[in-house]
Amino acid sequence: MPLVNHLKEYRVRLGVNQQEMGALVGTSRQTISQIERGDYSPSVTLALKIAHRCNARVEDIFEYEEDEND
Amino acid sequence: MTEQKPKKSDRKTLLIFLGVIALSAVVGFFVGMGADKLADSEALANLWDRLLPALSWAVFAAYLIMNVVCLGLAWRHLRHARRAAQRWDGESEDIDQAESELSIPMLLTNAVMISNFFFFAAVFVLAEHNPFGKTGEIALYILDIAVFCVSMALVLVLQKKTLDLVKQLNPEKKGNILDARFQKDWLSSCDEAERQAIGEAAFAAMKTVSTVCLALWLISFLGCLFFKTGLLPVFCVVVIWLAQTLSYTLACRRREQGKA
Repeated sequence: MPLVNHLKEYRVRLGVNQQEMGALVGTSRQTISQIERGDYSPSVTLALKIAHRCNARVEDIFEYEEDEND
Repeated sequence: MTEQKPKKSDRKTLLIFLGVIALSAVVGFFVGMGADKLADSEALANLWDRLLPALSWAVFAAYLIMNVVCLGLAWRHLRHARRAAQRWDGESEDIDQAESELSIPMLLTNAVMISNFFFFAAVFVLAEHNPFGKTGEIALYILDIAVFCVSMALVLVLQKKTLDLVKQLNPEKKGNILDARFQKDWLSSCDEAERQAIGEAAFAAMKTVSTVCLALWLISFLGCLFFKTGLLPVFCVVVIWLAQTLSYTLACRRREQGKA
């Protein structure tokens, strides 16, 4: 996946576990876990909610890396 | 040059497609000839008559073993997941592995539930051919009903326990499996990632069922032609195939129109 994320770092900085993070942004613990593992790319809405809760910009948490084939 | 490339690959795909159709026609011809020969075979008819009495109790035994093995395995996986959930401190991410184990009890219990419908009917139909006369027949009817009822009750209990554990690990989940609204409530409590997974799984299932329906149509059509099984099996397969394809297509259309 071309999306690199630093969600775990921000979550730990916030002092919440995955379940609490999910509750803060209106999603499940499993989805937070999948995002952190890079198995799921959040929608724009969810990414904005996460950034808002982490007091950061979306670009700070999620980085898009160009694929070599693009 | 760029415009020609799609045409070349289209031609190649068409040739492969026509080749598969031609090969299927040849294979179908030989399968049909073989089925015709089998249908006329007296030896096969005699073999079937000899097997029927043993089959009645053998099918019942298979029914019982299937339930014991599958429900036993489902219970084992549920217990594993429960122990992992009890050890979980709410922080560590190890729970993901235990949670993924919970799909196994659901898979097994659903398979048992559907298989029960087949075995219930099979034992009922074969009971009159059992080798122990009327007593054996009545015994099989009673045992058939008893196993069916007990198995379905166990399936419900296991599914309820599995879903209760899922809800314990994911408190935002809603729905009671004993409620008619369960699927609607559960879906409404799923987030975007879960809904995407459900959509992808539904598409994969739709593709598989379409292939299976095609194979079943072929088998039921040959059965109708050569073994006098009648048109009902063909009709049932086509109804399932149509229901699946049309409901999927109409659901996609509703989504596109924003009416989901």
